[in-house]
Amino acid sequence: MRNFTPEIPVPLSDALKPGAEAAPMALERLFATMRPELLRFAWWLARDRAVAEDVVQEAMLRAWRSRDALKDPAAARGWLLTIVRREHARLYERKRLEIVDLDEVMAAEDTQLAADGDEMVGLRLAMTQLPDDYRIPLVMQVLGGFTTDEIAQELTLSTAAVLTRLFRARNRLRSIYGLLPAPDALDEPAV
Amino acid sequence: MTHDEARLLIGAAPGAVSAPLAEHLAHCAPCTLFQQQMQRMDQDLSRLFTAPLGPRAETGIRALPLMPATRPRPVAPRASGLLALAASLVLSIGVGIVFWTLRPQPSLAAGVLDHVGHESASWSEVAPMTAAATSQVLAGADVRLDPTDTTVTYARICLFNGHWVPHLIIRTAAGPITVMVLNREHIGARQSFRQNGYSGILVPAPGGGTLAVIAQGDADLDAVSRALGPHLHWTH
Repeated sequence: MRNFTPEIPVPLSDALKPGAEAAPMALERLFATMRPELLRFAWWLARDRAVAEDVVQEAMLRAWRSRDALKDPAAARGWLLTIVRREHARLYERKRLEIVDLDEVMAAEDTQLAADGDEMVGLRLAMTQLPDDYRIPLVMQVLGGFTTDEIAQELTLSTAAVLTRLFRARNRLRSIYGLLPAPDALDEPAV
Repeated sequence: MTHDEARLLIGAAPGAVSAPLAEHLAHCAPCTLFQQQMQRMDQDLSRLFTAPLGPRAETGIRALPLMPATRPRPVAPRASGLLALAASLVLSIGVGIVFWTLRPQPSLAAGVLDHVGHESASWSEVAPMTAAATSQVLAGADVRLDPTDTTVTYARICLFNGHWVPHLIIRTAAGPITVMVLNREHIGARQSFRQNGYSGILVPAPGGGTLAVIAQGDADLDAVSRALGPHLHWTH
């Protein structure tokens, strides 16, 4: 027995067209290519490796079942990231997971922490401690590449609210953990 | 544009500079410094987000405390408390072993039922597939089915636990039966399960892996596995 990793004889863009016979194989190749990024994205949403893997697995199944919804193969990355984000939200709705145990997070990440510089350690810790309302839009923007309008649409917020949350997220990273002190005091704008 | 407005825009998207913001920055050194700091932090964030993940924590999905726990500070034991410490240690290990033994196991059966539930429309397929069409589908998952008198009404390759597996529905006198060929899943012995109107079994496949056989309601699932199992072969 071996892992099923066939070569795809047709371009991904053609294979992903609805009804294309090679679509399953092309999707598998897409999943295999995207999986590390999807896993990182899910990890920074959930801050737990096991949960992130579950989220990505469920997202891939959901993507497979709704593959006909992908009209533009060039949009596959954003499509998959969006499915991961929604699957993460569904998981939290079902399980009511509010905050992870940061001791477990840090224990699981000790190896990586040791390999990072002090500044990155502080940034990692600060990111894991950011509330969901701030962390998720920031991860979507920086890691996912979503625009503020796309984040607003996805999180059903106004664009102004997203701008404020992104600002507050970065401001917390800076002020709470002593990263990049602000040149002077700044009041956070109201949503 | 005020300083607060400028910093809101910078903090929200350090890499984006609109014309009004550019005009403000041209005459505002503190906001320009703020922008540079935010851009540097974004570079660090990008590095952080693209760094490899750490090792997998041996934790599953579970309800977690609402507040972050604090790391207990280790306390050096006093000599007079060594016996008590040793007793506590033995007790802790014993309790740990009990919890480890009784910990919830990821259920292959639950995964199969969940998957079947998501493809509920497959049960209604009644038109027989040709042997050639079935073979073509199975070949995509490196599986071959010998010619048999089995009537296959549905054949797909499905993503299951990270691997592509054949998902078949065959027609029997007792109604349609789902068969999933899980060549990456291994079990020690036959398992049976029943949930949400489905009954199913997991049996070791003759060629390795596991056969999942599921019916809506009751059916002789073992007969199906005995009839089909020997005719399924891995081609790689």
